[in-house]
Amino acid sequence: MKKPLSLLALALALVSVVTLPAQATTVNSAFDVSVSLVAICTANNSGSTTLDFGSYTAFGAQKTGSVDLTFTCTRGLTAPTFTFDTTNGSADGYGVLAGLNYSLTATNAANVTTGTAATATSGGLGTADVRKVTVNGTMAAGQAGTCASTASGCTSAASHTRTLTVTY
Amino acid sequence: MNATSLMPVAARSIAAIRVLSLGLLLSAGALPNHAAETGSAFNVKVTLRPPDLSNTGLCSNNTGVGAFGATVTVVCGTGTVIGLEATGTGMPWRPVHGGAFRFLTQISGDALAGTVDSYTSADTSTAFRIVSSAGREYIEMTVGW
Repeated sequence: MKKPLSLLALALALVSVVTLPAQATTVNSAFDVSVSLVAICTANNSGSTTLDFGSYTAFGAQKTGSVDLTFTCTRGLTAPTFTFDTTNGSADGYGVLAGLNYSLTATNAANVTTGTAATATSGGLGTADVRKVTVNGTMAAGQAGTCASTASGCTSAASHTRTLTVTY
Repeated sequence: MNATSLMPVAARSIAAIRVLSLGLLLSAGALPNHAAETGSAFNVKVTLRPPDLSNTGLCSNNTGVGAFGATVTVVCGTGTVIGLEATGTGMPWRPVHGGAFRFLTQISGDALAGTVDSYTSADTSTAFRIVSSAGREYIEMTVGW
């Protein structure tokens, strides 16, 4: 009577072994991810980029003007510094147009749009900071100016191009 | 003899290169980051207009501009005629637009009888006008020297 019982137990043990899932194992391998980010700001102007002093009457009142320049930048850059070209004026913003002296200053306004950080998800690229720089110009009062020949030679607008260099 | 001197020449060279490379790496790490730049161009524009002479008393010249030794006749807003003698440089006087040139002034109108010394202003003039007020006329000049 003992033998059939042993055979039954053996059969049950075999069945239970066969139905058990295979035991998974894991192993880790560390690796580094690295990148060197080159920060960039690019001019991204839209609309007028003219600093227009308007009509200046000789020996007349002071004139002012301004223009907003927009840059798309790498996120998190600290406040930049500014210089102007020396082709049509001085690096610190002075210039002469139609014989009229003017001065420029650049102000780093708050970010128009603060970029969003990238996320560790598919398509989580983030967005850039959009930085606005306001260039203000002042043309002092009481200046004579210079006309090409006669007074009528000054009736058309005079203009030249300046460049704002942003260092960040 | 120390260990270094026992090394073959090639091995010593390799060791020296390794030391130099390590030094270069360390020095590069100590360098500050270079700031980057970008530029944005914009236009600066102005229209220069002469002042309105009809009611200001400012003067304007009409003859002899630029001629050597010329006598320039200047008519002012008050209607008074002023004679200006160039000093020999032949430079034009442009009172409206501020030509900064040396010249002598001489008031030729009898209506301006007074104590004006017509030869005291041999300087650089940038503005000139006659002001009529309370029955008297005054000459005003902006003179630099």
